[in-house]
Amino acid sequence: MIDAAGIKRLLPHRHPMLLIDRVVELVPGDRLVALKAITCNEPWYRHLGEDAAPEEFGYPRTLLVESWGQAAGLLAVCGAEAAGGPTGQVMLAGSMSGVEFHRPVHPGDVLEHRVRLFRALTDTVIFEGETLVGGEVALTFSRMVMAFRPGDQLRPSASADQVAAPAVP
Amino acid sequence: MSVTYSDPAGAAPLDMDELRGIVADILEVDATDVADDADFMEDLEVDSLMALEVIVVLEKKYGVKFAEAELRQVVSLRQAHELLTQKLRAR
Repeated sequence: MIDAAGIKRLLPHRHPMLLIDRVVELVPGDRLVALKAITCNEPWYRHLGEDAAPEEFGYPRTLLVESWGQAAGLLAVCGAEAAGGPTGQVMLAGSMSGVEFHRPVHPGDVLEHRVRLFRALTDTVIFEGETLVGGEVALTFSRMVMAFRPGDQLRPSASADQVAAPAVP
Repeated sequence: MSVTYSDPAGAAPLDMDELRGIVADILEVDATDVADDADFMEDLEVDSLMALEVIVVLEKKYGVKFAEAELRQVVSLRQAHELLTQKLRAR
C-alpha cells in the first residue's frame, strides 16, 4: 500500500490537483488499484449555491479522467523504477481512446481506479482499465497513451526570442 | 491489388482488408480512407502517439511483439501488414 505521503513522493501533482489518496494494490510493471474519495470540500464545488440541484454535485468528468490518469502515472513511475525506465521525466497524457462514462460520481463516493499496463516503450507507456464506485463501473478506458519527455524539452528556452512549444513531439 | 504469401506453417495469410478494418476502427476513420500506402501521420492526420497506439493494438490482437525500432517504423497499412506477416510467419 502507498499512503498519501508516499503518493506525494511519486507524483509531481499537488493538492487540490493531486487526485489520488491511496494505492491499495501494486504489481510494478503490470497493474495498480488506487482510491480517491470525493468530498464536497473540493474546489470544484465551491461555486455551488445553497439551492444547487443534486445533479450539480456530479464530479467533473475531466477530473475523473485526470484522477485515473494519475493512477496510471503511479503505475508508470513504479514500473519504471523496477525496470530502469523513464524516471525523472515529465509525464504527459498523450491520447485517450474508448473513454466511456457509465454513471455520475458524487461526494461520498470512493473511486477505485484499476489500471493495467497495456504496453511499455522507452518513452511511452500505454494503459487500459476502469474506475469502479461501490463495485459499479463508472468509467472505462480502452487505452491511455502516456508520453514521458525530459523536462527541459517542455520549458521555455533560455533565449528570449525562442519559446519551446509544450507539444508532444 | 492482391497480396499472397506462401505459408509453410499452414496459418491463414493475413487479410489486408481485415487489417484495414481494425486500423480504421482504432483511428476512428472510414476504412476506405485507409489506403494501403496512406501515411498515418501525413495523410490520415494521426499524431505520433496514435500511430504508436495502432501498432501496439495490432500486437495484442495478433499475439506478436515488435521490437521498439520496428514498431516506430510502421506508418502505413502496408508496412503494418508486412511486419505482421513476417512476425506471424516466424512464430
